[in-house]
Amino acid sequence: MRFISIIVYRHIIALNGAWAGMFCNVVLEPLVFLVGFGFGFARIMAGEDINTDYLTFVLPGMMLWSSAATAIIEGSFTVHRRCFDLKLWQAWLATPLTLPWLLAGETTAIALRCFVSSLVMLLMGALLGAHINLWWLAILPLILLVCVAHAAMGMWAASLATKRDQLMAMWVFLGSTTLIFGGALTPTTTFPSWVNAIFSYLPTPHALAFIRPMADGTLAFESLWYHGAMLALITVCSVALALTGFMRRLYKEA
Amino acid sequence: MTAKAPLITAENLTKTYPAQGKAPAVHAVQGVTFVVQPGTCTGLLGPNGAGKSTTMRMLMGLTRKSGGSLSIFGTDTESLSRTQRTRISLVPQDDNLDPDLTVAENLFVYGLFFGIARATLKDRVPQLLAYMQLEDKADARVSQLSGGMKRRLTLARALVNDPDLIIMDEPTTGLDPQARVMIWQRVLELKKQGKTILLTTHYMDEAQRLCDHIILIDHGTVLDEGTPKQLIARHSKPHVFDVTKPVPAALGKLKLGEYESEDVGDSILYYVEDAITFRKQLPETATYLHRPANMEDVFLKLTGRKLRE
Repeated sequence: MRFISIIVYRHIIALNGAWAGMFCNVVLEPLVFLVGFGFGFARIMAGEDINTDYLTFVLPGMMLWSSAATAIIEGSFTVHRRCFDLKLWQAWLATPLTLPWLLAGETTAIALRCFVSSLVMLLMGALLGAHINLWWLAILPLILLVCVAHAAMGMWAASLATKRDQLMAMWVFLGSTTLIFGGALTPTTTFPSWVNAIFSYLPTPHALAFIRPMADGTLAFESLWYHGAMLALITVCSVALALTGFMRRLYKEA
Repeated sequence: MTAKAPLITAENLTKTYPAQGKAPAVHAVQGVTFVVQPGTCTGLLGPNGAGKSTTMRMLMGLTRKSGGSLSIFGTDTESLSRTQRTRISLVPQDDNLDPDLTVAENLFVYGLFFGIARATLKDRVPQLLAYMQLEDKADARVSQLSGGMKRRLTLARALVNDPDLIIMDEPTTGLDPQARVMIWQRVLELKKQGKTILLTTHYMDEAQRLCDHIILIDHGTVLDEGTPKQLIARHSKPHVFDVTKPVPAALGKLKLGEYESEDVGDSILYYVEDAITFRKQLPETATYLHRPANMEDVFLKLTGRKLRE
């Protein structure tokens, strides 16, 4: 745990002088999306698939998507820079720090950033008029889990990419699809079942299957075992892939 | 008097990088055996691609060995305990400093990884910055430092844990003479403090000046090892005459053919046992430089003059 706290501390002091960028990235941009979709898009969004007002519907989706986007970018592009361009990871790994703890530290730092972003969105959503109850607080730990899965997916991609440009492909398969097909903006029931089957590798549809019923108080645990198992499986597989990817890249081929 | 146990022991060490695509497998290290005694400075010398950096990386546990054994403090490098790892430091070839942090923060955060208490680091970081003449740059970002300053900071970072073993991979490459001399002074001081240093360098004068023991490697194997004096005595005559071309015609008529010589383009090097006798044979018109044989002569003799990429 000591190593995790050191890496988180390093990331916090690294923000010194970069707060404006952090504010835009973590707070402002997600809010722009929330306001844009919550009000603008909401006027044309209505239907039997949505059993609440659109702002309340889209809020958990936007919280998840902005967290996922942050986790993917930080886990892939930023980690790739630190590991391969700056060779900073090699410097850290020359200390008693080991690779699993390094990944755990990076993931925790990313998850904390996502947590802050989600919390701000939740508060802003409440101010904008979304119907929020105490169940929404239970969404936050779930968002952390989704962050871990996305960060690990990003890190796996980073461990494979020989150039940072290659990570753009990962963004298309993970970031853009999360927004469009992950259920952030529209219920996944609006897509054909084969589309949902293709994108079942994404963590967000499974997380939203928990979060939306949780938010409107209709959560039925017995019907959610599939999504729970998928979410756990995706997270475990992503972490394992990231770890083996970096083990291979840093130790076997280096 | 009892002999100290070696601090580093490598036996038949091998490293093979697997084939990647069309590129064949690379046998970077092929059965290297050596020991490093505590409290000494040992140089690992070789041309580019000789296997030096791979050996260094294996020592740091940053690359897994393919075969043989490699131990530090009597423990396999891949099984070193956390406590043992706190006694080792690395000065890598690249200045992989943290550009998002200030100079002082770089040392502070790195020290935390070694488990050093924050209170201790608050005292130690300014001391190290002063030792490396970087105290004025404590709050500067790494991007604001010159190449020499970055190197000094990298060396300071390697000292933050007060290590017993310091592994230096080309510590002075690319530095101006002033910065090189400063690093040399610090390395000699560290030696006096009883630290064990393993270094690689392309500068033979540096190796000769700093190292108690030198291991010459090429193509992943050890060519020879010993003290600089032993290596020079073993592989070169004690004197070198660098005779500028065109060599006077009279020179050829003398018994110069008896001497070992090497054409190096604009001059001919003569390796000589008895400098006085040789000088007597040189015509007055000859332009030459007389110097003692050095590690560069040994290095070029053993590894050849062909360029390595």
